[in-house]
Amino acid sequence: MGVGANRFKPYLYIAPVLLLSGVLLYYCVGFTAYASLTDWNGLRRMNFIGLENYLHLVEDPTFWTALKNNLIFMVATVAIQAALGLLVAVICAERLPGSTFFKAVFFLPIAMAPAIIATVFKYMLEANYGSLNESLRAIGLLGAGEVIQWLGKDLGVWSVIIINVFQWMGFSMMVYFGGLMAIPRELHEAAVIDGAGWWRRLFSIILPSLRGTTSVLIVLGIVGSLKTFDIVWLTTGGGPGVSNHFLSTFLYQARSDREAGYSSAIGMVILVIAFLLSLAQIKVSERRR
Amino acid sequence: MTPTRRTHRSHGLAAALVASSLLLSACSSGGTDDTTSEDTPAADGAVELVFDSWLPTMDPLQWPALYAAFQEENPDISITFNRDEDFDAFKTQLDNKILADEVPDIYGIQVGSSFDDYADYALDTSEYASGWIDQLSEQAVAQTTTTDGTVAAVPILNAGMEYFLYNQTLMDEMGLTLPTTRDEVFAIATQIRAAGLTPFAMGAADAWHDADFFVWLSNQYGSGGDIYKAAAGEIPWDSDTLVQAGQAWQELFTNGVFEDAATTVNTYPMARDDYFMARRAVFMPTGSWHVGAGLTISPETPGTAVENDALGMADCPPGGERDAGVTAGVDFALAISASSTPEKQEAAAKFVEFMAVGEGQQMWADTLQGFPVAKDVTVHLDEGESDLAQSSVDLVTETLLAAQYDRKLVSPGRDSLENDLGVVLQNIADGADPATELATLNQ
Repeated sequence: MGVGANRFKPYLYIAPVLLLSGVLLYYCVGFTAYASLTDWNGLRRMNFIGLENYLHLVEDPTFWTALKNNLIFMVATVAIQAALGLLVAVICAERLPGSTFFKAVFFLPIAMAPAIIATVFKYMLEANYGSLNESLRAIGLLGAGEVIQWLGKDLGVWSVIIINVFQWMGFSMMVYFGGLMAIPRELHEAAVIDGAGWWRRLFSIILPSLRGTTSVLIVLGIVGSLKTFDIVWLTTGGGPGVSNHFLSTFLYQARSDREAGYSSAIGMVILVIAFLLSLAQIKVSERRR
Repeated sequence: MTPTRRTHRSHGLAAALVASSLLLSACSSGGTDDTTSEDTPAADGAVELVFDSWLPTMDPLQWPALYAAFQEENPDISITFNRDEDFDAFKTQLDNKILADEVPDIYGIQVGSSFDDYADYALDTSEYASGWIDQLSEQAVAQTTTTDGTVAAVPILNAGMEYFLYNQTLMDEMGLTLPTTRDEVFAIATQIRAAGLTPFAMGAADAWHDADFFVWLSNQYGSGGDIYKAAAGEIPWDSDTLVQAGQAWQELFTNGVFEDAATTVNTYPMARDDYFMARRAVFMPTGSWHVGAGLTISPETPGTAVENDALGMADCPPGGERDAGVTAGVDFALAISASSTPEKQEAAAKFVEFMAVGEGQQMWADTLQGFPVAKDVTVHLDEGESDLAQSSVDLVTETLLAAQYDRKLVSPGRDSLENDLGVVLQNIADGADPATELATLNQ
């Protein structure tokens, strides 16, 4: 094979991926970007209106409610899932009796469809006859006829956070567990010989060694939180009112209302936010290294 | 140390890959329900049609029976029925097919703000229905007419709001009588709550139900009909009559007529299955299509706590200054694709005629999925049905015929109106000031 042919060989290797992603991803992103500048109704009406959708978005209180909910959800779920996941992983790594069983139990929700989890929680959290409020009444923490609106305008986002943690904590645990298993045993042995206790090893060996894993989980958490849709929609539908809308449910609602151009603008904003947050996180972790 | 670090990195990379694959596999679940009838192989010279809709249901008395009867009359026409139970999901599928230039030969269509959008792809009914469309209610046909005056779809079923289902057996056990005035509604709600049950199970989490209820309620203030003017932009949304209706709406929540946290309860399945059919609620506000719940043929009640109870339907007691009757409108219409071949359009026209003025209209009306639009068709019940079921059907038929106001608001260029109004009404239900909230719709 000549030198000229060799020069093009690497491009041939990546051509299939480029073609696939170009058609399936970048074309769609480009189309959405264009659609966001139109009054597209999801069918064939598609008049160019410039930045009108974006200006409307900035003035739309639902957008700010959804963005706030997304941020609360993102910070809370990333932090709680990482902390709980690490805790359970570290405990499981100690190989205590029953740790394998608990590892499987904590991992189980990941194997369940989000729709099933959302439906089960919706029934548990229902205000009048849900099992949680009924239990609280049974033990006297809630009076007869009193309700706590777990999926209402004040607590809805926090309930969604708890559901998400239930579903994904096992994922963080398994990733951390994989990271823990990768830490060389020699490091622990050397530390023990040097007289380091369990806590000292946790903060001086385990946590620094898991920095890369944490970084991956944070990026996945950020991206995952921005695309969270199923459990929010199936438990709250974004309501009451718009109180529990996330950016993704807001987008879906706009599309259902035949405002496809507007929902495209919401989609572009989500894309930009996800890109910027991931970029920032990667920069921060690079600086740490 | 270098080899160790490299091993550590490779393990980290492996962990990241495992993480990504787990994430992707976890996120790959989900999908939509899509019910398709069995494909019927077409004989030589036969016409095959595609029919997309959210109705009829797959209950044996609906699509299977309707299709069998149609095929008996038209053995050369076979239909592949793609049903999406969820109306929004159906519309999304229809949008995609329209964008792909694969408009189904026949498609279901609902009146309202988006009617004109879908009517653009429909064959003008004057090309296939002029010989029989006068057998349909003029009011119904007017609702399937576009803003430029084209009758783009054939109305098939009517529906009205606001009715309520009641559990007569439960009422008898509690010594209650049917409320007929607003004061009686408040009084009976107090009685029922004292007994530890829910008075009215309202699915206020549904914007469509809130909007339908409010349209019905608001017509009872002033001379009626102001809400249609507000939708058309002729008067502000915070006009006196609408604010009064907003206050009346709020009182239904604050005075305990509806269940607590009603804005977190949807109509289907929660209000119906977890409250009314679970015998936790005595009443359930709903539409005329639910009158069939009290019949022996109802597919909804078997296996529920109300299976052996007598269920009836009544029109909601007026909540305002005067009784304005129920609202009514075309709940289901059929359109024929303008882009289908002439032979398919001809075959599709036979199906639409069958459903509108033929045997299909009578068969479907008898299931009480909706009420007939054909003038000479009335609902027939089996002889074994109870007096309560018969009187409920008679009442719904009578009130629908007397309806003066449309069920759905039309606001050209503002397809989101129903949802926007629903959001406002949920905020009012949760304690927001009616005037302030309604004013947000003026934008």
